[in-house]
This record gives sequence, structure tokens and C-alpha cells, in this order.
Amino acid sequence: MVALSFVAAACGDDDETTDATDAPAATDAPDATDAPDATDAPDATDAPDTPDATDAPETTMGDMGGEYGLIDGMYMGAGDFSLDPADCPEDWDPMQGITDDEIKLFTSLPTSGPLAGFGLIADGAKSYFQYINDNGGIDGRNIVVDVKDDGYAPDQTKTNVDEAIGAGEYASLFVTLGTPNNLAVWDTTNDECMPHLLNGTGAAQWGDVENHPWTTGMQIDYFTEAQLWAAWLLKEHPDLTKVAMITFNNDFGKSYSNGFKAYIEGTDLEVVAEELHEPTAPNLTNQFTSLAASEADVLLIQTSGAFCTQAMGEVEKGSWEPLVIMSATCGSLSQFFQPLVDQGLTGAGTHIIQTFKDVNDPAYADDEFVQLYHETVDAQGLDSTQSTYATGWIFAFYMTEILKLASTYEGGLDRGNIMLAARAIDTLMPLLLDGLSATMDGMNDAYLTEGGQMAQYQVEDPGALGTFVKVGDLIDNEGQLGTYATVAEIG
Amino acid sequence: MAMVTLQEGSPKHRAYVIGAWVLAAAVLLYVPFASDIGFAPASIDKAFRVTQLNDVIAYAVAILGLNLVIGYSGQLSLGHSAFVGLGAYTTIILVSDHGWSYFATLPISAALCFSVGVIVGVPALRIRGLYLAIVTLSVAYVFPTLVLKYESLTGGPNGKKPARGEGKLEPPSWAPFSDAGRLAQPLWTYCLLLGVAAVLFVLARNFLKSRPGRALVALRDNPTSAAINGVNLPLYKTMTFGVSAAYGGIAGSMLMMNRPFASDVQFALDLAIFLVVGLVVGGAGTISGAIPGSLVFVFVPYFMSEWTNDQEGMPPGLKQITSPLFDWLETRQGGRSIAGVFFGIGLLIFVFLLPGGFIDGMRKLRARVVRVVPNPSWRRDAAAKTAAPAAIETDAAAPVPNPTH
Amino acid sequence: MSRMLDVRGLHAGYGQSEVIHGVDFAVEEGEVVVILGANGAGKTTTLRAICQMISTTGTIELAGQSVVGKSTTEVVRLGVAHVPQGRGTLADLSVEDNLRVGAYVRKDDINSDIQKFYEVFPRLGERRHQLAGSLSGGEQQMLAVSRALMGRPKLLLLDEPSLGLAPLIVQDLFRRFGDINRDEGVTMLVVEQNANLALDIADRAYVLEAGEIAVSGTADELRDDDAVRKAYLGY
Repeated sequence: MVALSFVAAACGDDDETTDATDAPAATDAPDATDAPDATDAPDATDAPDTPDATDAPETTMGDMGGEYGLIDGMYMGAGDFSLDPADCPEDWDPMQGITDDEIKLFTSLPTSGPLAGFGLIADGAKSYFQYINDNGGIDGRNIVVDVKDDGYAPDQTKTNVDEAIGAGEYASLFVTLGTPNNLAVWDTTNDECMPHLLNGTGAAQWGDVENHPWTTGMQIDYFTEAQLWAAWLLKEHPDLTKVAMITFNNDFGKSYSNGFKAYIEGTDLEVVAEELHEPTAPNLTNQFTSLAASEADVLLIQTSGAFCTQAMGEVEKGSWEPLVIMSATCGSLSQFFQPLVDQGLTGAGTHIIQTFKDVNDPAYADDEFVQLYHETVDAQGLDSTQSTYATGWIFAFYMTEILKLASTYEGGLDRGNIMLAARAIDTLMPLLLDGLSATMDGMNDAYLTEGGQMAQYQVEDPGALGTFVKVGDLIDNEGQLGTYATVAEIG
Repeated sequence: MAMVTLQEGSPKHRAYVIGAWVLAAAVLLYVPFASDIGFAPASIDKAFRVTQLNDVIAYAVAILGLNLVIGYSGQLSLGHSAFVGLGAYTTIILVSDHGWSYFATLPISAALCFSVGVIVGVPALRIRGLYLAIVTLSVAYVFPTLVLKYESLTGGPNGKKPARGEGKLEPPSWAPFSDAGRLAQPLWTYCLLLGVAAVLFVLARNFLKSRPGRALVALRDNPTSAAINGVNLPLYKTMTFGVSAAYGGIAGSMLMMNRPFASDVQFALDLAIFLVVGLVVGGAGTISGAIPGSLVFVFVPYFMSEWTNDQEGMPPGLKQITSPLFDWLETRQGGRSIAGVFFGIGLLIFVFLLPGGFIDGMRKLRARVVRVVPNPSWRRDAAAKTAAPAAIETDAAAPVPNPTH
Repeated sequence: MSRMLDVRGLHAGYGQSEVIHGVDFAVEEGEVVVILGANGAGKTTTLRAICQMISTTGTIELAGQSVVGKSTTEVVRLGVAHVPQGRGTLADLSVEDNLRVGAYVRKDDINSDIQKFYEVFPRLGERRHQLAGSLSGGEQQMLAVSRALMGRPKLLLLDEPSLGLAPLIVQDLFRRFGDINRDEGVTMLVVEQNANLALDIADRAYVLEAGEIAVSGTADELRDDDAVRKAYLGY
């Protein structure tokens, strides 16, 4: 969860480092029967030398062969998704970056500047690919990633991606980080028929399969996250109806706002007050004076970075006592809750949505994949408690699953089939909270994960950091959002 | 002592000058078209390299403009990034939202930046030196904030670009490289930018050789002396800022022709600083210095960043020197921050070796090989008179001949 | 002879501190007038006041026209040229461009004038494409005077032209000032500490002491004045 919020923050503010103290202590042990395949698949010791070892049965690829792939000159995929190679540039090479023993990928993310911490995602991804390669790769092909630094500057991302496309050496992009950064390049990647997969941002745009079929996201989008809040409120607190919002005045903040408002239409929930703030605001005191006057039952903190801390502080200092739900981008305990402790406050009671297991959470110490993660990463000489590496593993895991699935399609592994597979995977990512799934379905479902677990921040000792505890059931809206066309219509 | 002495205006001297120009033109044409004539270093035959060269051309214009203020009129301006940004946004907005052609936006960029430049130049009348630097610095600082503030116009943090498939500079069918695929568009942009830059360089050269240009240098060298020769200080100070800003604005427009995407971070403070670095490296107070300055600005950080990611790609010999440093600094995958350290060290060494910048160093080198002596045409007239006035002995040892221009 | 420069009740200074406390003097057309004085007497300030580079009160008339309150540029256009102390060399311009800056306020053809100064000072001709900063002190002084004369001034102000130059060069230089005054008919106001040389070419002279005129008279009268001789001529 924390690892994910790390990525999510790319859109809002800088959430640079996370550490072991952030571990949400979700007490419920994962129910093994929910995800029967998750435990044995990634175990390297099973059969390290056969490709089948990593060919985990957790994807449904087995029965796809023959149905999807390059058929009569067209790439035909799941969910009525298809690609016509004739739409691609004349010199488009379906086998670009794919040789008998290598698959070359490219990513651009910040490895310098204030957001350089995100660069660790690339290192984490490389770590997982090394694990895959050590166990036979994808049908004997090693996965290789080239990384370029963009310092989180969109123009530099564009320069890097232009260079990568011009180089003609890469099969696909993946985990390119940041909303503006990906928006800067997605026209080009789609014009060039360059798979542009698993973007490291939670903007809803990455579900725009109609206009940008070559681009996909990975994490739960902010729009959906806000809808999970609404679903959880309706179920768990039907008596609370009046909602107030403090919203970052940009695409990021408004995604939450729009998502929530769209979901509550026709329900008892009602937004009674919304205050916007600029990224340059010195504090949120004025906004909170207005919000408190609304006497709403619920406060939604739809912002990021230091504003999260300020917002929680304002609530705690005031006499207004709403139920507080906060953006998952504010999940880092060390970054956003510790400053409260320093001020003699706690932030206790704040709710956020979690999607992934925290690899440092003792509750998951026996989880086989978490163990595999720690063993592998430590063996590679990296510090596995750095949860950003785990985020890299998540991205790399999905990428690997996509490549494996594409290999089963008609015509074998090529870039068209990679794109089809990216829009067809249905896999149980072992680090996802049990019960959640990662499913794409062509033109029907363009978002990978659309569920999460509401958790509440609880504090025993006011002088120290507390933990997140699950409240209510897991909510999974998988497949409900559809594509960006839906979001665009609402938002 | 120089190996060759050429008399100014002699046929040999003329051949030397023409030869130099032909060589320069040949290089400018060879570099981007090398792949077409099948005689190219491998690394050049990529579209991306040509777009980098296009960046070099655009930034050279920006540095040239900055040189007018810093190098020629001697006023430290750290706000040039704002003018480059203003020009870039002017172009990208007119092209994206109003369907203008790129070329039509150039005069608008120039005029707008000239006006803003004149306004920024007004404080220069009252303040100078470090204080002026701070005022201009605030201009650089404020620009990205304004871009975010007027999001509906500028696209805010998401940046501004033309709608998909639009705003492309396609080469005309008569261009010999129009079928060069991926290379065609960058090459065409190269030709266009080179043309624009050539005009701007010639204009700058003529301007500096003219009456106002001399006034500008007089202003820098000795404001008192300039004033008592009748140079209108306020007018020239503000005009210089205006012209410099206009060059910056056109450079911004040229950047957009090459890569039609503008974002706030692209035109932040570090651009202003690095433009000054490029200027110093190339040579303050030289026109041609803008070119090596821009090459350094574009390529040095690029290759530094490449090498920190992949040390195998380093030129032989360099690795042995830098490897221990990399090991010492590198905690993880490299990047521009480490590149910045090396850039800084390189710059330090450079300033010690070539304190006058690249062009100055080249001139000194040239002076060892070729010496141009002036054509004493005035003596012919003087000789006709009965007695040429006796030359006055100088009090100091004769200075080292230092032919310039 | 008409009056070229008429200064009456001139007060001038820098900021709050007044340096010139009400001086009167005049320069007739075609004359060479010398202002003698020790360091700090206010000689340079007087020249700057005439050029309106500092704030002044009192009367300064150039050929009958008041210049107080005008800008330096306007004064230059009225026909005043000023060779500042330290020669005001534009070090990064070539010798020829220095001359062109000198003709800054002129709109007519200046090439023949440039040729003329190359003849008067052949060293300048030899070095016309060199940067002025690379010239020797004597050459720079030649350049400074030439540059000032390029504007075809009616009145040439020379501020300590002998400063920092070897005696032989100074002698030659002053001989040339005499030539220029005679041949070109340029009126000159020279500020000097080297009284001997200056009085040789001067028609009249003033002695400035602590911002006031202490003595005035023809060059010969001052040479014969005991006090002046002791203080400034050293014999």
C-alpha cells in the first residue's frame, strides 16, 4: 500500500521515501483459499530451470492460444480489442527489441532531482527481471531494461522517449512515471505503435483505449479510489450523509472530486462544501474555517504532500469532528504522520484505501511471495526493507505476465501481441491484497485494479506512530469503471 | 611567433577567409546529412541526433541573445529562461489553439519578448551588478509560476502541445530527403532553423559592427567614456534588454518547431543558469561563441548522463579516470545529479584552461599559426606628403600583437 | 574673439559634499586655457560639471548657450569633447571602432577624419585593428585625444593628459596639443598638475585651490608669480 502511494504521489506531490515504520498492521491474515495459486507460483525452488516454473497458472493464458493474436494480418485480442498494423508507421517492426535471447524494454523516470526516490522503482523492476532471467526468462529470452533519467520534467521525458523510439531497439515502454510526463509522450507512442504500458501514475486517462490503444496504467486510479470511498461510506456509515471536501486545485485533486460526485448521484450522500487550494498555498486555515462551518459528517482530503499533514492537523485542532478519508498518496507514516507527532498531534482516525500488501508488515511475514521478495532482493545486495523496490517488483511482475501471455498468442511474442496481452491479462498479483484481482478486458475494462481495502489509522501511544487497521470489507469494483470514455463523460 | 603572416586584403588573406567559411558551411551540411551520403560516424545517423542538433541551433540563438546583454553591454542577466519560455509558449499556443504556422509566430514571439525585455531593462537603468542580477533572477523564478497560474492558456503542469497529429513540420516534396522516413522531419527542421539562425547571427554581427553596437561595447568598457562621447545610456541599456529578449523568444519558438511541447519546468531557473554557463564556455562578448556554448549546453549533460548510466559507452581512457569517482559517488543508478558533479568539475578545469572561453582559446591558437597584419592603405596617402610625422615612442614595451576581428 | 565658455558662480560636487565653491572663469574661442591645482583641488570636478555629468548650480554658458540642466549627450552635441582622466579607453573595441565611437553624434562621413588621425598618429594606423586595451599608455592617450576630436568639437576638455606617461612622451603629446589648437582651431581647456608643460602651450591659466580660484592670469604672468612658481613649477 505504502509502496503504491509512493507512485500515486507522482501526480500530486513529492513523496520521496518510505521506510519500515510505515507498515500498516493489517491484522487479518490473508485467507489462503482466496488465492490458491498465489503461494506456489513464484517459488523459485520449484523448478528453476524450466520456463514453466514461472509460467504460473495464476493467469488464464492457457486457453487463449489460437483465439487471439495476429490473425489474418490483424491483431485480435480479448474484449473486442484489435489493432491494425496498417495504422502503424511504414517502418514499424513487430519484432523490434525482441530477439531469440532478449526482450528490451525502456523506461524514463526521475533518478535525479527532488523526486529521485522514484528511480528506485526501476531498480526494483530490474531486480525482479533478474530473478525471472535467472529462472529461464521468457521462453529463454532475458528481459533487459534501459533506464533514462528525466528528473520528472515532462519535456525531458519526451526527449528520452523520442530517443528510445528513434533508436529502434525497444519492444515496449513500461513504468514511465508521472502524469504530465506520460501525457507529454502518449500521442507519440500511440502514433508510433510503441506499447506504452503500466504507467506509474494513477490518472484516469490511461484507460483511454479508444483513442490511445497503446497506453495502459497499472495502479488504481484516483477517480476509482474516490468511488471506493463512496461505496464504503454507503455500506459502513449509512447515517453519515453530508460530505465536505478539501481539494488540490489540479487534475489530481479534481479526479477525486469528480469520481466521488459521479458515484453518489441518486444516493443519500451529498457534497455540502468543497474548498480548493493552490499548490502554492501556505496553509489551509481559511479553507478549514469554511469547511467546519458546513458541519459536514465526512471530510475528504483530496490532496497530497505536506497538505495532507496540514489538513489532518486542522481537523484535530478544531472542534469539528468529521469522519476523515484521505488520498492514498498520503499513506506514508514517516512523511505525513510523523510531522503531526512532532506537533503533539496524532492524525488518529484517518481512513485511507489500501491496495497492496506492505512487504514490511509483520502480518505478511509468512506470505511466500513476500518472503521470496526479501530473499531475492537481499541476495542481490539491495535493501529489501526499502519498499519502493517492492513497487518495482509489482510493475515488473505485471510486465512479465504480459510477456508470458503474449508468447501464447497466435504469431508468438511480438509487439502487437504484447499490446493485446496488456489488455487481456487476468492475474493474481501476489502482493495485491487478497481478494483483489488485476484484470483487463480489451474495450470493456481498461483499468487493471479497481478495488481496495479501507483502513483506519489507529494510535496507541500518542507520542509515537500508530498503524493502519482494516475497517469493513474489501471493496472490489473490478470491471465497473470500463474505459476512460466513461470517466470523461462523468468528469 | 606565427608561422604564416597574411596581409589583410591580400588574395591570400581573402582565400583564407573564404576557405574558413566554406569549411564551416561544409560541416553544417555534412553533420545532419552524413547518413544520406553514406559517410557517417555511426552515431549520427539517427533522427534523435538531428533533433539534438536542432536544439543546439535554437539554444545558440538564445545564448547569442544573452551575450548581447552580458557579453556586450556588460549587464548580468539571469532571467533569460523566462524570455525563451515566453517565446516558446507564444508559439505553441498560437500553433496549438489558433492554427498558426510556426513561421508566422516568430515575429509575434520576437515582438512580445522585446516589449517584456524593455520593461525588465528599465530597472537596469537604476541598478547594476549583483542587484540587477537579482532582479532578473526573479523574472526567471516567476515565469514557471505564471505558467501554472494561467493553466487554461498554458496547459499548466501537464504542459502544452498541439493536438495529436497536428503541428508537424513536414518537409516539402521537393526536398531531397523528403522520403528519408523518420529522418525527414528533423532534417527539414534543421534546414529551417539553420536558416533562421543564420539570419539572426548575421543581424547580430551587423548590429554589433554598427554605430549602436559600438555604443553597446563602449557602454560596457567605460560608461563614463561612452557618455561623454554622447552615447545615450538609458536608451541603449533598455534596448539591449529588448533585443536580447527578442532573441531569446525566437530561440524558444525554434525549440517548439523542433519539439512541439512546452512545460513549466523546461523554462525554470536552471535553464537561465545553464545559458550563462554556455555563454561563458563559448566566450562572452563573441558572436561565434554561442555555437560551442550551445554544443556544450546540449551535449555535455547528455553524455554525462549517458555515461553514468552505462560506463561502457565512455570514450577510452576517460573511464579509468572517472571510474573511481563514480564508485565513490554512486549509491545507485546514476543520473543527471552525478552528471552535474562531473559537469561542474569539467567547467572548473575549463575556466582555468580557457579563461576567455572557447572562441578566445581558438583565437589564441590561431594566432600561433596565422597572423593577419592590417593593410596600411592609409600610409599610401601619408607617404605622398612630405614627411610622415615621427612615430611617438611608447612608454611601455610594445604589447603582444593581438589581431582580432 | 568671442567667448567659448563662460562659467560664473559654479558650485558642484558629489551627493552631499560640495567640491567646487563658486568659481568664475572663461575660455575665449581659439584659446588654450590651463587649470592648475593640487590633487583634490576640484579640477576634474570642474570638467565634469561642464559636461553635466554631476549636479551643478551656477552659470555655464557654451558659446552663449546655457548648459546647466542639460544631459551629457546634449552637451556633447553642442560641441564639447572630453578626454577623461585615465583616458577612457574602450578596451574591447578596436582602435578604429574607438574613433568611430568618438564620432558617435556625427551623421556625416567620418572616414577622412579617421585617415587624418592615422596620419597624425601613425602608431594608431598601424594598430587600427588591434583592441584598444592592448595599446600602451601613450598610444591610448593619442587615441583618447583623437577620439575626442572625431566629434569635431568646438571645445576640447583634457583631464590630466600627462598622468602616468613618461616625460618624453608627455612632451611630444603637449607639442601636438599645440599643433592641434593652431591647425584645427580647437579651443582647449586643460587640467594639469604638470604646470611647466601646460603653461608652455597655454594662453591663460587659473590656479584652483580647495574649490576656489586662487590666482588667474596669462601663462607668462603665472610663470612669473612667485607663489605659483614655488607651488607648481618647483623652482
